Amino acid sequence: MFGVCLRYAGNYHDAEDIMQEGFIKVFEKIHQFGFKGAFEGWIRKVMVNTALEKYRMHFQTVTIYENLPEADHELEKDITGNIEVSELMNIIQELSPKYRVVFNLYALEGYSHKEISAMLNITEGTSKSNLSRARVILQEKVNKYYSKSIQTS
Amino acid sequence: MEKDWDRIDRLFRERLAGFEEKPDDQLWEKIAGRLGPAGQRRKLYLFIRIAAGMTLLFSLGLGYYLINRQSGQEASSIISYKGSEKNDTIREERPRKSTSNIPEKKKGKSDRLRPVRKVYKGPEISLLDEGLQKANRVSVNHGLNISEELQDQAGRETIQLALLRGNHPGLSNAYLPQALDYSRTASAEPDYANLLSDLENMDDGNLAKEKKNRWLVGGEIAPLYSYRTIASDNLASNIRNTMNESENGLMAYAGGVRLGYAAGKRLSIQTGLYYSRYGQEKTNVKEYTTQSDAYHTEKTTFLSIANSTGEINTGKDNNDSKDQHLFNSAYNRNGALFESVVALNEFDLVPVEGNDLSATQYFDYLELPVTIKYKIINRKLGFSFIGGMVTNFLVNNGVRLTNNGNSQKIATTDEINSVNYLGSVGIGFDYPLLKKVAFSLEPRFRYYINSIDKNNVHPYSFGIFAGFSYGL
Repeated sequence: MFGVCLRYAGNYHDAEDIMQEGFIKVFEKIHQFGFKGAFEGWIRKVMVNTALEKYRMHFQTVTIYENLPEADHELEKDITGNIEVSELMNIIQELSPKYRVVFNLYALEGYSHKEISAMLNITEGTSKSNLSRARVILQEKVNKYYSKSIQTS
Repeated sequence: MEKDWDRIDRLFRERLAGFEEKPDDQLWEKIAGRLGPAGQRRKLYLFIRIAAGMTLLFSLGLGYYLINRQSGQEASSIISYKGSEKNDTIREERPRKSTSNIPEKKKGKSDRLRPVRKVYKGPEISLLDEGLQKANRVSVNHGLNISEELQDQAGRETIQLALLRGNHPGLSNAYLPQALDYSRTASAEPDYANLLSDLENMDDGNLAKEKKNRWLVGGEIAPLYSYRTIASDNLASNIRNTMNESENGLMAYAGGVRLGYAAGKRLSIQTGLYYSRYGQEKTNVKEYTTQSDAYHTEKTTFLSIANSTGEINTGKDNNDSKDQHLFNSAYNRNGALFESVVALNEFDLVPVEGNDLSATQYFDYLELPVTIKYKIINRKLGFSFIGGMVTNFLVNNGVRLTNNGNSQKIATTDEINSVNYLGSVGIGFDYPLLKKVAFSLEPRFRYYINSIDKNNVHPYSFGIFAGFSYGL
């Protein structure tokens, strides 16, 4: 469960905060869990929701429309086998909250832009824009990591 | 380009969605610290439960003490089957201790309660979780195991540790990739909206709001053992001793209907209408006949019933010429022994041997209880503490004389109150049989707050009430 917190958080400390707040909620609301499904899923939902609350203020800022960015470089073909998980975590944590949360929700959790817009109280356009921006940044950083690792090896 | 986006998404999804890491040990210490107030609350609840239990034990102990500290000498009371005008003198000598009835105040009521059964009817687990279930049965099984563990407090603690230490098999492996893949591909599933509403509900803290059966009706019956304490302080200890030695409690019954209202998850209030029989048995009833020519007939006998409660009255006046009555005495509680009465009245009585006589006084009541029930253990088998007040209305009373196994009603008891107030404490177990029907078992102890008669006699009872309740 800490992994979920880590990828929604900006850093380890924030992840601990989310974990802590989330578990407090879990214990406070544990009687509300109906024993009708996966307990794990229920806890994860609480964690995600806690993370959204933590970063909700970041989504209240007006997002100026950004042209959908394009990747500067194509993603290197064999990178997925080489890059460390910890590095991926660092990369995703370096995103600003509004990009990081949308990317998590869309790419890792599987929500649609419509759902994300409802959850974060933003427009679908903003959701799409944030996702695209997140992808561009992520891809750039992954490629950068890859090229660096090529050089060092 | 789109393909690249898929790749970057997939890269992070495959590597991070299922990624788990153990948090620093200090984190869970912090969480435990944050849970401190809750822990304190649990301690408070525990304290309340222990205090309630001790109150119950104290009540029972007090009752026991009151019963056993009584001692006294059996005073004489006479029922003569044939009368003598001189018997009136016996009546006149009967002392009347000032009543120490507790002022009657507001109605006391009590009743029994049925537990509020907790049935979770909250939202289903989200599609994401369903994805988890469908895509990874192992994970689901773990989830269900956890659920079972959570059904008790101990399980909850276990889970708490397991979760925080990341060592529960169902939690240390988050099968998110599969779940996510499922949820992504199952685009036909319409339920993402449900997850949203779940999350919103969670924010509002009303995830588990449910429609409960707040009202219940039911019925119950109980074998009821009753006896009394003698609190009169103008009786010599040897008289009280003799009364206590010669009287026994009465095994009778109680039963009725009840109506309850759940004020919360644990707290409920109940009332109802019950019928119950209190009483006591007087053994060692002495029978005499007289050698006096003035009173002797073939059937004339005299009974000595030195009872503690009320005044036994045959209802026949002293001038009645028939055998079996004359008058009752019953209330000579100032220590005057029967023999002295006999001497005084020159009855010249002779004990009749060979008979085994006992007299049973019984008091039938309609009861209006009002009780509060607090559920200590709110699980399928519930456990509660119950306390309240009962108002008893006397509807019938009698005295039966048993002679060698043959019983007949010979009298009634006078000088007893028609309304009494009782304190009631008990514990309750309940178990749901059907969706709305529950079985309950409630041992209850009741004690007369005001005296039943004018001589500071306080009956009490113990009954195990068994019954059913139906949630409306």
